[in-house]
Amino acid sequence: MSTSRRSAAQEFVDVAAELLDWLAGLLSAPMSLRTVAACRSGKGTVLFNAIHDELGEMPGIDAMRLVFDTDESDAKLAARLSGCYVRLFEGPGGPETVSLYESSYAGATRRLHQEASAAMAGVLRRCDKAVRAGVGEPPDHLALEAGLLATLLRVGDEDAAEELRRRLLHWVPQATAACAGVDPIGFYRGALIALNDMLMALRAASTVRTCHERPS
Amino acid sequence: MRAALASGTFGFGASSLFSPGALAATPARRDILTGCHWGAFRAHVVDGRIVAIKPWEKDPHPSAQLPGVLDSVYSPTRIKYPMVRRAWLAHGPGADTAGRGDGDFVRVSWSQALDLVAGEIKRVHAAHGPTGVFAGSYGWKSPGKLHNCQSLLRRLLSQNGGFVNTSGDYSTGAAQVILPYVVGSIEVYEQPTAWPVVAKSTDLMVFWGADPVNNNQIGYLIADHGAYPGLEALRKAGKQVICIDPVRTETCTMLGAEWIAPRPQTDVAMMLGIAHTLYIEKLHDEKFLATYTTGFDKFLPYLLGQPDGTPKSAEWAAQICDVPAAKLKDLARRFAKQRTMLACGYSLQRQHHGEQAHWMLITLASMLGQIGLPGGGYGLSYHYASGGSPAATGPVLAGIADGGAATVGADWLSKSGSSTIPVSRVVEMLLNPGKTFDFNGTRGVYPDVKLAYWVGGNPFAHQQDRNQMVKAWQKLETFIVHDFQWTATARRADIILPATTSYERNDIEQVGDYSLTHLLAMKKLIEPMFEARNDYDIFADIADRLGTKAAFTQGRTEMDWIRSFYEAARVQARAKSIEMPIFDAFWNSNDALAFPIEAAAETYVSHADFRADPLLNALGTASGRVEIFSNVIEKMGYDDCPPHPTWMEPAERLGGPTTRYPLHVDTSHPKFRLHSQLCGTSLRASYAISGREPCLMNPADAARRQLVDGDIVRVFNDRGQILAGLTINADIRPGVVRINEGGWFDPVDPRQPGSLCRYGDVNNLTLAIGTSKLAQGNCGHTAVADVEKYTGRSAPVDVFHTPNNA
Repeated sequence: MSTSRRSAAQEFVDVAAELLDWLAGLLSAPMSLRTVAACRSGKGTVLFNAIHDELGEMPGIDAMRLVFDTDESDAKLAARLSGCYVRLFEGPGGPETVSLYESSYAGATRRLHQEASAAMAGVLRRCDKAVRAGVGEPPDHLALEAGLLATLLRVGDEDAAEELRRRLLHWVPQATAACAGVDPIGFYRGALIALNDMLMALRAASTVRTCHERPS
Repeated sequence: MRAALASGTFGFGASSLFSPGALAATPARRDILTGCHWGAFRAHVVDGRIVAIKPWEKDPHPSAQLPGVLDSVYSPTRIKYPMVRRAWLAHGPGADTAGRGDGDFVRVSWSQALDLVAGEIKRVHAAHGPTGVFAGSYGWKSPGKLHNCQSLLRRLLSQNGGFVNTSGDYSTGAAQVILPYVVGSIEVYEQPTAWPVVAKSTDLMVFWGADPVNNNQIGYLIADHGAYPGLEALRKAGKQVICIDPVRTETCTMLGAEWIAPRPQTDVAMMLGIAHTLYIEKLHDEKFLATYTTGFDKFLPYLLGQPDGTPKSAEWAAQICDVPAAKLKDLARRFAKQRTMLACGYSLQRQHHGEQAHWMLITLASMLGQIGLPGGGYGLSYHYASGGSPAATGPVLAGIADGGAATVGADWLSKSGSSTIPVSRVVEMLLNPGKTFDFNGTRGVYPDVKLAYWVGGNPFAHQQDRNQMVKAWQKLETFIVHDFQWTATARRADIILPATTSYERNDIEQVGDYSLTHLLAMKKLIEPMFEARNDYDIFADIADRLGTKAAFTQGRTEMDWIRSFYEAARVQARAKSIEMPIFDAFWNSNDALAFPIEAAAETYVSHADFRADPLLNALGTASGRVEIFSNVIEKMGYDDCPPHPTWMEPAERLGGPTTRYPLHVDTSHPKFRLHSQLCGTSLRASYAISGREPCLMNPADAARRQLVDGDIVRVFNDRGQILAGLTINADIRPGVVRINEGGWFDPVDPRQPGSLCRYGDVNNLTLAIGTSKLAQGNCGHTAVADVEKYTGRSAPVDVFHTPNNA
């Protein structure tokens, strides 16, 4: 394994951490008008081009980008996206609601804040992290799990990151699939697809790094 | 790319949602005693999460509904953040009111939400005055003396310009108005003869439209379930029991009772037939009637048919109630020859002309002459919150005041507000601003309400005639709701504020509505979920925006209030020579504070003092006696409430002369939920049929319609249509179907009145008229309909938010 290959893998992990963190943030709350405007600005174009250049074809990112390509005003689009978020993830959508909590997918019941949440609280504790005061979500919310993964990747805690990545892959594909057909705009489905793809891609990167570290 | 994303220009990264320093924290494990409508329970809390609950060891009969608590707290249907309906936010009050319920909400900050609420109260007050704001918010909320959200709402609005309030309730709307004229008090929430007396002295127990085994699962305070030992004692004593009900009830089965199934809504005729037999066969107690009642002489001609040529004989009654005349005569003889307790449920008065049922039952009991004797007479609350459970000697805990005049009885009967309507007339009010209405000898005018504010209730479950209601709600400019769950009502809000459940805050309450056996510290089990806030704090912050926070809070914190209620109770207790521990000892004990039940409570006989000395212990009526004829009601001159008990045809009934539909719809209380509470929990799986609210039907009715168990059926009449899951058995009389009240409203098209309800909210079918001009109670049991196999398009249930991964 060459040093350059190792560096490329590390570079990918670093990029993945940033992208995961951003996607997780987008999935934590409705987007602000400021964020929507930024994504549609020239800087946004640069960002999406950079993602494409650095990570190649990502259908989820493309779907998100497509949503910004519209004639409507920033305010109107932000309002539409906000309504979509609330309807998709916060309850008023009835059976078309997609849960962003691991407990919904991992337990015997559909109750929130169940064993998965307790397990994530343990993971956070081991990482010396706590959910910030004022954040109302339990620790098994997708944004928190993916946000923590980004943190672990950044600090190079590979074992914990890998454990969390596997954990996410147990349920994020289901949440992504649940979005199919119920996200009228396609933005959040795109974000979930992109997040899911990053989790899968990290497996490949992890394999590369594991090979490198193994004694020859 | 990394630099761009890290800059925050495109939104914050989720890693910013953490703070460091959790290593020192260790997961805490605690067992905490608290309580709810379903009883006291111990919660096992691990690391801030309730992982299990178990009934309080002193609960003699834990409710099967209790496990629903965990589902409530952790329900996927929790409302997580403040939200505003998009059209309202964009275009202001009154925007696209038909769109309420279509789920298009915008998440806002608490600060913005509270600004909007305070601004809207100010706007409506300025433009329309206090009668523009309706805060008669009704519902079962949760127990607790501080976080009584309805009192808190009224407190806020009393201190900030006034509001339209309601009087009465949905449970006993007719009885609680007429009974003061008959026996001098509302009685329906008063202690009947104690269960130990009944078990010992009653020979024949008659449950008339009452199902205590089912309905005593719940209490308005913390349920004590004290009725169950009484029922068990009655069973063990081998006493005769008769259940008069269109359905073979849980009580009937548990006690091995004789089941008599009259046509629903014909109870008054049936009672008259029995009364006629008593009189004709000289089985009535003339001495009792002469000593303890007035007006029997004016009632008698009616009973004998002198003014109308129709004696109210057993044969006459049999034609109406469909119980053979021989059986009615047999009942009269059995009632008269032994100690008989007539235990009447509230259901009899939740129907057109419902006032007459309780009046006639008391008249019947008066003719039997056993009122005030051990085990005899009548009882009106054996089925509710364990009425008859011996009462402890202790204090009565006060709660936060709503700013109105206190009244005797339950907190929801407090009188406050700038204007008041009978509680079930809310839809009529919205549809008819300016219209005059009669009520209990007065004449009022319906206000023109623009803003309705609802807390701790689900009117889109409990109000009759849902489709009329959907239309009426469109007239409101603004609808504000606090709740913790996306109920049908919450979905229709313009501004929805997420409230904590009672398990996420501290409070204090008593155990046993009638028995008041214990004081219970309702300790916070867990931190508020998501961004939910306590109603008290929400209202305090609204008051702050209105400039009245000091008046609202009186400078007290949550624990200050709780301590003050406790200290007031200590003062009361001292007057009874009971020394309660200091507050901190009580609060930290993790046990309930018990009060003694004295021997006199075990042997309590309702109206014994009146019987012993009717002059010294006169009733609160005009005459001081039981009034079989009321001069006061006569003076009101109501055509639908004559001055003595009278059979009047309801607007519709099974076998009625003008009734178009063949089946009566029995809308009794469910076994696994409290009205609509817990419908959105996993308990639903234990009773739903094909995913719908069950529709119980007699095999003969099913065969006639070629229906089989498990069919999804459409139940319909001129007022609405619902889907239900069919269950067939002979525990219901032919001609009646039972669909329990409280199923969540789930219209295919929330914008369209009359749209098919996919889950089975039976109030799509019920009639919304008042019981009479006297009480204006609700007619929740007045409904006829037909049933057919549903052959329409697939209609998946929508109202229970279920993640799509299932």
